[in-house]
Amino acid sequence: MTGTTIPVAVARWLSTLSVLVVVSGFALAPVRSEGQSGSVSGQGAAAAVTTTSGAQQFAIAALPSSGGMADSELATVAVPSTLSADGLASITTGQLDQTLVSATTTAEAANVSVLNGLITARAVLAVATSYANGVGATSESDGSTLVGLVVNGASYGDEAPTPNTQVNLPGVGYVVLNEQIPTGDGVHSTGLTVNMIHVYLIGPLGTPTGDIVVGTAQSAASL
Amino acid sequence: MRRETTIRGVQVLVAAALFAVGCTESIGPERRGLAAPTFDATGSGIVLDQVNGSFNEQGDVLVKGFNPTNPHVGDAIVATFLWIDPTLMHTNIITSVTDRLTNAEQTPVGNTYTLVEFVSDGLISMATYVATNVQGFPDPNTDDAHVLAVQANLALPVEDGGVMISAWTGVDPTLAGALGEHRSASGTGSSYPTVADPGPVAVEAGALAFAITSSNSVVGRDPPPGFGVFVEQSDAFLVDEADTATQATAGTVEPRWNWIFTTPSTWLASVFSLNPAGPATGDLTVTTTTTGSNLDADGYTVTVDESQSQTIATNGSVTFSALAAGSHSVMLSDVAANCTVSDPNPQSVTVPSGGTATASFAVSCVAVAASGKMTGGGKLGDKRDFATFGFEAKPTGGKFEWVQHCLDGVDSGSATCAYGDFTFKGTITPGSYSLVSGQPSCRAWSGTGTLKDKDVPSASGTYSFTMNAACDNGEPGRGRDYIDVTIADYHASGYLSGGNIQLHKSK
Repeated sequence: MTGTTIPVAVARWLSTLSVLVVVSGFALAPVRSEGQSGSVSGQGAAAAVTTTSGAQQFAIAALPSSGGMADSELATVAVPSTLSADGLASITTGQLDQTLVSATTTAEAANVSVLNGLITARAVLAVATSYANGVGATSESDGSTLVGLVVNGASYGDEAPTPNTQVNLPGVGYVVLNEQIPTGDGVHSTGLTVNMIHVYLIGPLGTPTGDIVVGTAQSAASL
Repeated sequence: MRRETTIRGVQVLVAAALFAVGCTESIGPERRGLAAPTFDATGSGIVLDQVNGSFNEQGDVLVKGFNPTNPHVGDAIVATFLWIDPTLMHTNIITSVTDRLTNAEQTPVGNTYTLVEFVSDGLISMATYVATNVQGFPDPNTDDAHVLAVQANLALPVEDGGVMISAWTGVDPTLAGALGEHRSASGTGSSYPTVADPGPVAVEAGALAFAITSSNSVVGRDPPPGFGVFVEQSDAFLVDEADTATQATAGTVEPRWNWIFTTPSTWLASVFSLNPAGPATGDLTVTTTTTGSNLDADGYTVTVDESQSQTIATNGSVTFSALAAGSHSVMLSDVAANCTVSDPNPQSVTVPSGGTATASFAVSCVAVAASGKMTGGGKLGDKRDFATFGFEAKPTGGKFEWVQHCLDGVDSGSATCAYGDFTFKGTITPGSYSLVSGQPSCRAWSGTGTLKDKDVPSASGTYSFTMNAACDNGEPGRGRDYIDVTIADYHASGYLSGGNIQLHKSK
């Protein structure tokens, strides 16, 4: 089992590069509720695949701008030679009120196989939680899980790898495990994107050709 | 050879109650200086119920009944047997003391009579037996055929003997608790005063000191100072006298009679004490059964006689021990406003002596509507058995989703994995969003939804669910926020391992 932790700035850049593509259609910016000074957002996808031929997202849930709850589920997914999984589900909940804002998103999949078994996992769960009360703002990924993870033959057991663990995938690109991308000033705003398995596909010339994400959860709150 | 055996008389003296016990005539032995008793049986918690006696008996049985009136069930019976010793060996020839009814069948009653004292000088012998808490006979008796009789069964026939029986109310029901110190002595004399003294015995406060002396010389004697003459009886060859005293405080008593002997004679004397029964007590067990919604989480208070209280769970029981036997008032209080006690409150219960009474309160609670809303999402559990969830709950309804993960498959012994992996999507019933009593940070609700079971497809279907409590205990929620949910017979609860539950008091 090998891996390296990539700097947050790089992760943030990568996130910008990839997530903009992967989760296009999500309202990424925190939603400002009418009549409120803060905003809340949450969105999750059990999996997403972006290649030169197009983008697909599975079990997508996006929190309404007024808060509340959204959920989505999909029994199985199969993208030939790219991704297979079952039990895909996303749930996002949150609310903005006069004194606090909170959002939690979970995104999960089971029996995951990426790139014909190059990466497998028994269960993948991304959890992102954000909270702001006008005095402080925090986000966390507690509860995020990678169970039975195997990357290119290396087993990671049942524990989630250290955040932003990068593992090279020769001839393919690399994967970032438990990728965490924070946003906000930590006082009035906060946000977190958690991608439990994020494969960056790199072409022969070293240029990005797409990515595969399994378990992506995002939450943000500001007040 | 038959000796003169006609009962010449039984004289019974009871200091205050003046019990008359089938007297035929008084033998009237000369009495000197009868001292007034300072305490007697009628002044204590122990009260004389019945007394009787017989003399001039022969054969291998000495027996007497409580005619005409039986004692009360629960009494203690003192039976003293006196006989001319046929062995001249200081031997107690009584093989057993039993009781029976006086009917033709001589129906055995079965109380246990325990030897307290036996004393003999080889010429005459005296044995005293006690039975406590006597049972098994008509109380009251309806006729002379159902009189309780006490009988000494002898190993050898005697030429002359007698019985003195008395029944006492208020004695400790156990022999071990009833019987205090006891002792006996014997002696001889030929003139007045010949002191008969069994020696001192310790007596507890309120106990009855019971003293008896006998002689083979039918003469009189001075009663022991401090005692009251209780019974005296005689025939041509034997005489005895029983005396009692009750000590107001614990101390020692030592009865001393002065026999008026004029010829060489023998005296026997015994003394023992009977302790009073303690205050009759029993236990009271109170149970509560609470149904409905928003149960009073901090339980109730149950109070007995407005004097002693215990907290009691909403569905629980508590016991009040050693309450005085009799009627008591039991009240349930600290009942939340949304809960109603359907049984009488307070209610009266009767605690039996030595037993346990029960009082039950049924409480029904209704949901207390809450305002605002609650949102939450995250994870409960860890490792290979966990659930993810999300909800939005508010007075007008909402949504609830629960996804159970059992990575090791179905485990019938597990509360959470008995049905393996499943997804439940529910709709919250409008109006069910409510407060949880005593837990201001918690909310409860209920509804119905659809369960899709991956591992046990047959378990899929529509079920009701109840959010027993979702609690916003702090930020962030991991390890703080709490959730307790029931879906049909599935139940999961605990502190979150990830995510957050957020109570929103206003939009």
